[in-house]
Amino acid sequence: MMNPKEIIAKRVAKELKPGNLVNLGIGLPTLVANEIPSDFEIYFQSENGLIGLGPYDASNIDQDLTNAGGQPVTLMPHGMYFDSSLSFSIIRGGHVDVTVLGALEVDSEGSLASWIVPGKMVPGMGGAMDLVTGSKKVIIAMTHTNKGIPKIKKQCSLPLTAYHQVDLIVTELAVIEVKKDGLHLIERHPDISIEDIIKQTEANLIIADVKLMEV
Amino acid sequence: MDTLIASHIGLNPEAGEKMGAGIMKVKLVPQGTLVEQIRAYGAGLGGILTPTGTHTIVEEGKQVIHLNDLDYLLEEAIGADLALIKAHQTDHLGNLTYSKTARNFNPMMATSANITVCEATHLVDEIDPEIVITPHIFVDHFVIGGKTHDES
Repeated sequence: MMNPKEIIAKRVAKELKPGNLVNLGIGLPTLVANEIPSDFEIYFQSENGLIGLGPYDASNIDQDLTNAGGQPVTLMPHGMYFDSSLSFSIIRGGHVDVTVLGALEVDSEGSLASWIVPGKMVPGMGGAMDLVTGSKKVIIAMTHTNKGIPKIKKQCSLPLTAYHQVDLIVTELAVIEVKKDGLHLIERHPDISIEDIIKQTEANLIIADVKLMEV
Repeated sequence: MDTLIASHIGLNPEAGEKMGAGIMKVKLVPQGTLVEQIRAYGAGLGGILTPTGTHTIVEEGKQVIHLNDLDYLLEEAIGADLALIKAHQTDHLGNLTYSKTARNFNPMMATSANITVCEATHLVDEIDPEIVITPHIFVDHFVIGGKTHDES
């Protein structure tokens, strides 16, 4: 099988439309930018204060120009900078079309947990709570399980990042849409059976018309 | 320091160690809420209403206000005795510009503290009035390359 992260990034990229304003979370979601066709005009926003986020360029490093994780980035033509208040007005105000982020758990009601494992990992929520609350579409990009332990749960057990905000879950095995009546399995990896996906998912899946993921 | 209010301490291992050892309390706040709490104080507002954090542990101990069919948390304004900020350019009065994404929280912080101290990279004679981000009235002292200048 192709690298799971690459499968996920390629599939998430298909959800983005020309002209979209998109925020990519740190880690796996940043790989989505590599999978966008070059004739697509997508505007990447970063919550530390820019629109027009460009790729890392080792020959062009400026300590004052970073992504939200503090890593050096570049600015695309027509990009611009703003302060954090305006940045979160853009985010909370519903002006971001798509936010893509990872998660530790997602549940059958579209709630997600991503920012704290009490007693173990307490980095903080950063901008994630605002992003999932305010963005028009929330896509979770994550591996299907954590070393075999399902991450798609009946109900999240960790403290929530947000309640009922996820629209789509993309993993290396499946694409799952969150609707009012539950989780719909809409695509599967061609090499993986529906039974295998059910086995690796704790939440109930609604299965009707399951297409094959393009990999 | 007894309490730290921040949105993310993942890149600050010292804060994590002090929190783990119980030497320092850490209050984690969503980043968009924190910046707006700071802005609100500088703008003379008592607080803000935000949907961020509803139905999560961020809601604990806070008033939930139901308005136009939506739930909001009442988050109180945050002011400070001292703000330490970083700017790109300053003139002799303390009018400021910032550099790229290093602008972030600085303009809001400048408005919400009793005393604002700025470290600027460059001291210039004049800044185009159209591009001043922080008016000098918010800046009490500035430092250029280690030298102090009292704005008053």
